[in-house]
Amino acid sequence: MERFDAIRRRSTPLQNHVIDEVQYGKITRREFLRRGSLLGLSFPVMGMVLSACAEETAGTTTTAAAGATTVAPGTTGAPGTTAAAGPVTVRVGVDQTAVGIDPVLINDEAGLSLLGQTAQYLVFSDTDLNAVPVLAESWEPNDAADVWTFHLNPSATFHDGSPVTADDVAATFNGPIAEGNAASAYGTFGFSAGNAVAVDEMTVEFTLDQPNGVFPFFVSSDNYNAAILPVSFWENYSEGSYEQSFVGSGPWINESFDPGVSAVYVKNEDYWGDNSAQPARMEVTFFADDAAAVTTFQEGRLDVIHSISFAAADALIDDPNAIIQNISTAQHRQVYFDVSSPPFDDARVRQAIALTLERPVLIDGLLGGFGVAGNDHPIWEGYPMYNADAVEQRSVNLEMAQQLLADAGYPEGFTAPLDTLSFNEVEDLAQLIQASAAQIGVTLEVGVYDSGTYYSDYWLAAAGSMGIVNYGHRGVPQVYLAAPLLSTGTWNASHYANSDYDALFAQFNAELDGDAQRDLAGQIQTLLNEEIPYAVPYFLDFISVTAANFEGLVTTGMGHFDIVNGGFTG
Amino acid sequence: MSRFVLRRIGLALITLFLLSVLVFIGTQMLPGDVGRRVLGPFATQEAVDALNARLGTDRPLLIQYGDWIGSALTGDLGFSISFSRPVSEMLGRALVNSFKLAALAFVIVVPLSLIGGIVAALNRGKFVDRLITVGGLSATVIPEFVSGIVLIIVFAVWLRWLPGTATAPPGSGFLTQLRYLILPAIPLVLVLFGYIARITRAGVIESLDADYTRTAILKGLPRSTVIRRDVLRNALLPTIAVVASQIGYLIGGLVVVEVLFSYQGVGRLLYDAAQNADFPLLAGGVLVVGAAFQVSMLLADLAYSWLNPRIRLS
Repeated sequence: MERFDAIRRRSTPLQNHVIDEVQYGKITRREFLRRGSLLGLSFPVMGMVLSACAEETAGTTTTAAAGATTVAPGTTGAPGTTAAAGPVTVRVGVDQTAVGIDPVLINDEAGLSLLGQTAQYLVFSDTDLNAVPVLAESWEPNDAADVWTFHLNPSATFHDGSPVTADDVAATFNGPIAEGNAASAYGTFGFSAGNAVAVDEMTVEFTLDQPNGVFPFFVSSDNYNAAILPVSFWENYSEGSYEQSFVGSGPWINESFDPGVSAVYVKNEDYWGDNSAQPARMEVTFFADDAAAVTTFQEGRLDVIHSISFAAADALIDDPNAIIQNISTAQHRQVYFDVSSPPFDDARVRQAIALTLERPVLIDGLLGGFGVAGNDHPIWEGYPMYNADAVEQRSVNLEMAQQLLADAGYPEGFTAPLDTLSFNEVEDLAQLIQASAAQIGVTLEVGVYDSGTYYSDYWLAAAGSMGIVNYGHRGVPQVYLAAPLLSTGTWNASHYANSDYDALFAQFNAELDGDAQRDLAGQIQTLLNEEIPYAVPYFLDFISVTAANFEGLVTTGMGHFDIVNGGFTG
Repeated sequence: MSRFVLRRIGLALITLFLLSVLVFIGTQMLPGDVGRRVLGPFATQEAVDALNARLGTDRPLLIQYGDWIGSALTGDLGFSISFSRPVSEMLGRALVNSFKLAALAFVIVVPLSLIGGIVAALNRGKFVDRLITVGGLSATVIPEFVSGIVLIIVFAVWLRWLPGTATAPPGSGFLTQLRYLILPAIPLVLVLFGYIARITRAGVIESLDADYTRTAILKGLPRSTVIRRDVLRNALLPTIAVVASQIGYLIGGLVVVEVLFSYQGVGRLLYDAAQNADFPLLAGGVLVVGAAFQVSMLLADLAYSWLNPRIRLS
């Protein structure tokens, strides 16, 4: 109990508030871990808090540091994996990268997944939505949540043995990514160039443009451009220069990289964390399409397929040598309506279309069951702030849909375009929405384009139309709530502008307290479900495949993969 | 002869120049700008503008083109925009791959279809003839992705005799590489066999009916000598032109096979370049494929003249 009191004394008011919540049973242990980590409580400290709480309530001594289930790359040992004798090579199939491996230009899942083998982040956004310390060992916000201070892990080193310092972090965030320079996720950090400041050798302070209660996720592995690289790299950066060195602090060292063909990684013997169980070698093969990856796997020439479509996974479901590993994610398709012009300027019309969607059928038919129903807002049920009581799940009701259309002045229906891009199951989704809407007399003219054409000519431009766009997973929903919905939002294909919503979002974004976050999230869910600037038919799982004798693949919804603790059994 | 070759090279250069202009105009007509394609839909407009400025893709078209052609003439094909690597390096690797696959397909299909065409012609109207012509034609109309998928399922997945992807592990020897290329070569053989065999058959039949053949037979020469010396030499002329015209296709046109068998050849590289509006890579690739095409046609012409002394190349 003395240690518990000591923790109490060292903690900030916000941290103490979370400790209160778990102590009095207001939040679950899992949620405590997540929120505590976000507010800068370390996992050992949280483990102590949890065991103290357990002693208090049950009077027994349970050591329940559930934080041990959270695995940052290479920071814990292998849990019970039998390493085969001799050096182990793991063969991984990865989608062909869209652009080179470049920490500034990167914007695709495959490229990100490879960057993450050699480079690391301050914070790792893991499968269970925890902010796991990696290069930063702790962090804390000021009371207003607009200044965040990160303390670096003193043992962390780059491949050449030099320590990861605050100067490296500042150079990463103030350098080519920010300097009026071109980075794919530049603008999503929420602070201006130069506002990442090295306070001392091991401390970095970020001064934000707006208060942000979940800022650690913004500089975590959730952000494409947040990989921390040394000052010397940034000083000599040019497009493509990363592939000359593949420098970083990660557990793998790149041995070769042949774009579109293969890449080879070897174990970093001087890794700063614990990588004792790491395989000696990882051979990556790139595939332009999933079918080739599946056949190569079936031939026994791959141990892991990093990411696979639902259609391709189907071919392996009955394969005794394949284990389909799916994780639930916040990735979703936004079916947006242009609310600035008829017919979709009337919320009743948008509701009517949403009422025709048979979500369970879509999930079974298009995703093979690998997904969960959405309720026309992007706050996925996996988020801790998700408010289950806020609004009832929308399901098919054609009568009500007809009535709403008639009330809106379209008793005979209408015709409108539905534009989208050719991407995974999206084209089929467009056809099914077309068929659903036809039941209430609405004729949707489906146009499917390649992604370049779609994003440049249709996405933000078309008036009076519907469209479908993909949003990848993030550890917090801020990305989905800001750019596509705020009146100033840069990805606002709906042309939605509602000052009440803008204010609600600002409040939600600045909130540090969990209860208040959940309350505000409930209001957002209700508002968006009612207004429907975009419908969310479903959230998709992230699917990987491993050979039956391989254990220890860790993936995230963003597409990171980690086999540092992986190995073969038997 | 040398004047002919020089003239052909001159014409080839003009063709390549026009090709480069066409490719340049073509890429400019692709929707979406370069910066947006590289950075993806969710990058800010600021970032896209900054990247375009750095890449120089925001400058007037003529200047961009002039810049590129100027460097290209000195042998510098520039940097791939999407991969940030020298175009020559990327194309070099892809060309080597394409040549390997094309060479294997050629080594299989040319003798096979020549023999097939000759046998069919010598057995005109009989069952063997029908089998070869109808069978060859049927094989030609099977799209590569259909035959490719069937081959993969049967030989790679079920029987596990041959790998279903074409890229051999780095550092593999000749025989291993050959093993990896057999399955992808078969769809190409199927597509080309019927065509080449039919042309050969037609040529042989024409020669068999020709006066000089009748004269040779009436002279009392053995049938095998007549066929070897008089029939084949004449019959193969059109076949050579047909075979040469397929080289360009085999080097740069195998997008489907290369994607299906996960092989990094020129076709797939060009396809990716077009998707990314990666002008330097696309233009460099098209020029190389164009050059390969021109060279193969020139070689065909030279072979033609060598086989047929009636043609004077001047």
